[in-house]
Amino acid sequence: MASVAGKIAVRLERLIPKLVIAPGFLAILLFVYGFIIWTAYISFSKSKMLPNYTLIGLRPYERLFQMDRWNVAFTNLIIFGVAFIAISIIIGVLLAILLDQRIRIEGAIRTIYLYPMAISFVITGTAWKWIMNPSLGLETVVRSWGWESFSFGWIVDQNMAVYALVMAAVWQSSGFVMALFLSALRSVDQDIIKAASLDGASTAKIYLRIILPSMRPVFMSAVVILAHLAIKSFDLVVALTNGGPGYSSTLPANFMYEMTFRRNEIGVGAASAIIMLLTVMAIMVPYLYSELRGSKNV
Amino acid sequence: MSNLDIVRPENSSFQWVGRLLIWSILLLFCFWFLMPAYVVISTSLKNLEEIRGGSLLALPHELNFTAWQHAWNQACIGVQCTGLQPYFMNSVMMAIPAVLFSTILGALTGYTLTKWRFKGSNIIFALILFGCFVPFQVVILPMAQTLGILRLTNTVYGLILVHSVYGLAFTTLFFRNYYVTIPDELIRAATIDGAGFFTIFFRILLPISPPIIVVAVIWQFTQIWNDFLFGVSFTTGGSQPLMVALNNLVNTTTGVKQYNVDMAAALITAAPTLLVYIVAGRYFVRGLTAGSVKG
Amino acid sequence: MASLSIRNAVKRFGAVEVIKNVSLDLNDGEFLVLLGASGCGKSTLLNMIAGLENITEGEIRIGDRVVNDVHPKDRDIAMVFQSYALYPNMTVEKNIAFGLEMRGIPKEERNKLVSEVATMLQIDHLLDRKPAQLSGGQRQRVAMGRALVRRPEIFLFDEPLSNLDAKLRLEMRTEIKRLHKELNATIVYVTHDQIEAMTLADRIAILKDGIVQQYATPAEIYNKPTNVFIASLVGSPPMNFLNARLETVDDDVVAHVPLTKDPDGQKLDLSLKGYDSDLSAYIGKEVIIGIRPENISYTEEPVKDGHEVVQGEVDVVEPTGADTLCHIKWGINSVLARINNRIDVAIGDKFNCAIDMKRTNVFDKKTETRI
Repeated sequence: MASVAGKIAVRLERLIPKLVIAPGFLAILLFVYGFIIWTAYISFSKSKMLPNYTLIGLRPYERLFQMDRWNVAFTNLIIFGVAFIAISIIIGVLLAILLDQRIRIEGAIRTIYLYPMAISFVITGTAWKWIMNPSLGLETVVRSWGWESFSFGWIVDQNMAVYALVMAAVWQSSGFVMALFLSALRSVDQDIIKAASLDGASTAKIYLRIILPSMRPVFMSAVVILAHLAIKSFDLVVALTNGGPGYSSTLPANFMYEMTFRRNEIGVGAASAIIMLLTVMAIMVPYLYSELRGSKNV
Repeated sequence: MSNLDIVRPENSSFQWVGRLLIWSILLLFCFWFLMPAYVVISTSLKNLEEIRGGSLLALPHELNFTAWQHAWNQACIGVQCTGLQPYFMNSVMMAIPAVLFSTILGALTGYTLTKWRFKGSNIIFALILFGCFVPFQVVILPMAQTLGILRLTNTVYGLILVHSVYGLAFTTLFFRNYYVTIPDELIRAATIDGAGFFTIFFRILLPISPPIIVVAVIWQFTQIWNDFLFGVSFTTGGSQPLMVALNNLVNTTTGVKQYNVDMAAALITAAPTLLVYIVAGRYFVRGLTAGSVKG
Repeated sequence: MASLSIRNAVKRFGAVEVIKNVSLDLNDGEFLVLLGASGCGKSTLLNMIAGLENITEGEIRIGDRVVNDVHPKDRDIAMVFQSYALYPNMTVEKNIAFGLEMRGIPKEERNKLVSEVATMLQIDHLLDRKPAQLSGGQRQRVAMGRALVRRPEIFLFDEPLSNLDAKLRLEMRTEIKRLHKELNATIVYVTHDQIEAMTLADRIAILKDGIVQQYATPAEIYNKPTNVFIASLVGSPPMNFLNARLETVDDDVVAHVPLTKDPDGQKLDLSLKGYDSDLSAYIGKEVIIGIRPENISYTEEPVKDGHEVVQGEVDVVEPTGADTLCHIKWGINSVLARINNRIDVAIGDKFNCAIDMKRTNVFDKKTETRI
């Protein structure tokens, strides 16, 4: 009767939320998880120019790790990642602390520091490629100032091209790290600082001994986000060095694209994508785990 | 700590030196951040002789917008000499629907996951959240195949689909984190008042969502406009988005290298997102930190 | 208005039983307060009445209707929340009218009803404001208006005063009491504040760990708490508890309260002659004697009728204005007495205390229930 009708109405209302998230969730299930499985499958297959679903076990991975191009790319990722993360954080923290000293035009300076985040890596790469142009760029300018031996030909130097990438990536991202830390500095409990200064600590000591150590979670976030950016870096390389000279500045993302779409090595490309995913997961999973566990404790 | 004004011994010269140091470092970095922008703008206004003859950092002799015009409708991208104009349109046609779809779907998903929790909804959220961190290289090959099957390769529609799906993870995170801060009692009150799932969403939550909608829209627009990977993987020739066209324009090697045109093209490509940043920088920063800090 | 009846209600979240077999009956027009500490299940029970939580087992009736499977909006109830839960984007007027609108009541009638309620609650000058522009007390009134305008069968209040400052809380408490009388409304009210419970309720149900400990009128709960938990929860300052052993002296039951650590040492004898229940089964057993602070008074006589007079030493004195709270030492026992402020006491004074034995409670030491 009424109770039965009521029961149906209640059931129906419980169904609506599930129906609403179904399309988006199913899309993600298919386009993220389904595709990961698909790529994983291909990475064990003998796909060359076209996907081929004959499994050949770990052979694509063996081939991958035998390729000098891949080993260069992965070594580059480590160099690029470490340098990029470390320098971005050092600059970001330094700028955040300096901006926190009651600077009158803080808003304007912050806007300047952060604008690179709004533009794409392709544009950053294009701009820095021009600045680092060996015959018309900064090198010539500095030489014309009288420093004749100055050399800034990073993008044409096999050994330095990776650092050109680091330079441009730091330029793009350190403002973001600054913003991250500045907002964290602003939310530090003022009473702790009052207490510390009553205890006689100097400003520098307060930052080094009290404030920065309390920001470990922010450091963690910054490292994770920057590492994520580094692993995904693709467009910056394409625009700035195009992986050259030779393949000396190639990164795994570029390797994957090259193998999959240019060199008819789909199997190897898929294997490299899976290695990239595993690298990301090695960083993200412990981080997310601690984040989620932390929030549950609240 | 800047809102704390601790009493210090006045005007010691030590303190004066400190301020000077702070300001010089800050200004040095201002120079570093602004230098590329200055170089790009000034180069785009020079002619080729000026570029070859003069210094990279020199001001242009006159305001000469020929390079801009050239980049907009004459420059060669591959073998097509149409300028950036058609590609700019491609990006607009791609970005607007993709931003709309992902934002609307993200809002509904975030709302459901916070205010209508059911068994398994936390797992669903975790699965969606993980989508924020997947390196897209691991999905592009199947995506290329799927777009081929759906006959969407080389179309704006294909890119709209791709950006909508992969943007959903971020927009869901934004809205979920925003709606979590809204007390559940509000939903209970509305339920007792007789409002259902959609009435509560449209009459009560949506009207208080503009701040997060702005954040999501700006974030999505920036991401989609600046995307290169999807564009270069799923489109060729005339259907490419602007970012891919820019890269092709710069790397087109036929004829004399026109640095001024390259720089003008870069500026045109950067203009929309820079404009958003200048107009709504506050929301832009909020998106960056919200999208990344809190999981 | 309607009666409310809860029969053997159980609520489980997974394996955790939050409400364990609760039964309560409330007559039409009565004011029920669910009192308990946070986590005792009182809010869950309220949400079950509202339909915001499912009932795992048992039955809830509003009037003659079983509402277990009835949607909250069809239960004919209204609720006032702790955070008020005002819709931030709507004006006060729209907030109050929203429930009517959802029920398809025409605009003209809505306006009429809203203005009536607004006048009654003295918020008619605020109708065009948004919640953010209101003070805490005003928001509270709007939240009540939203409930009142619907003229529901039952009003549910979920700690509605806990976000107000002390003065406003008193004011609104009176207001709620007046509204209850004026509207003759059936009300279920959740709070952790025992004074609110005592002042407002016709009946109080005290919950602990999902079990109703006592369901009675405020006076009965205060005077005859069924266990030590209730005795210490209700009343401020709290009841004094003394360990004692019951003995028979000259056919009278007497409680021996030790004054030293040595069990054979000096003892205080408190006669329990005329206690309201039979104590004979507890002779020779350990019990807890509960004495409210206001039942210990200052006396100059060595003997007082119906009282036991005990000498103690004043340890701490806390004047509260109307009364003075005295911590008094009786050997190893420390008790709190609430005495008239005209009596001058100082630390170290020897003090003759008269204990009103007719208002004394005796609890079983093992089960902590009242004998």
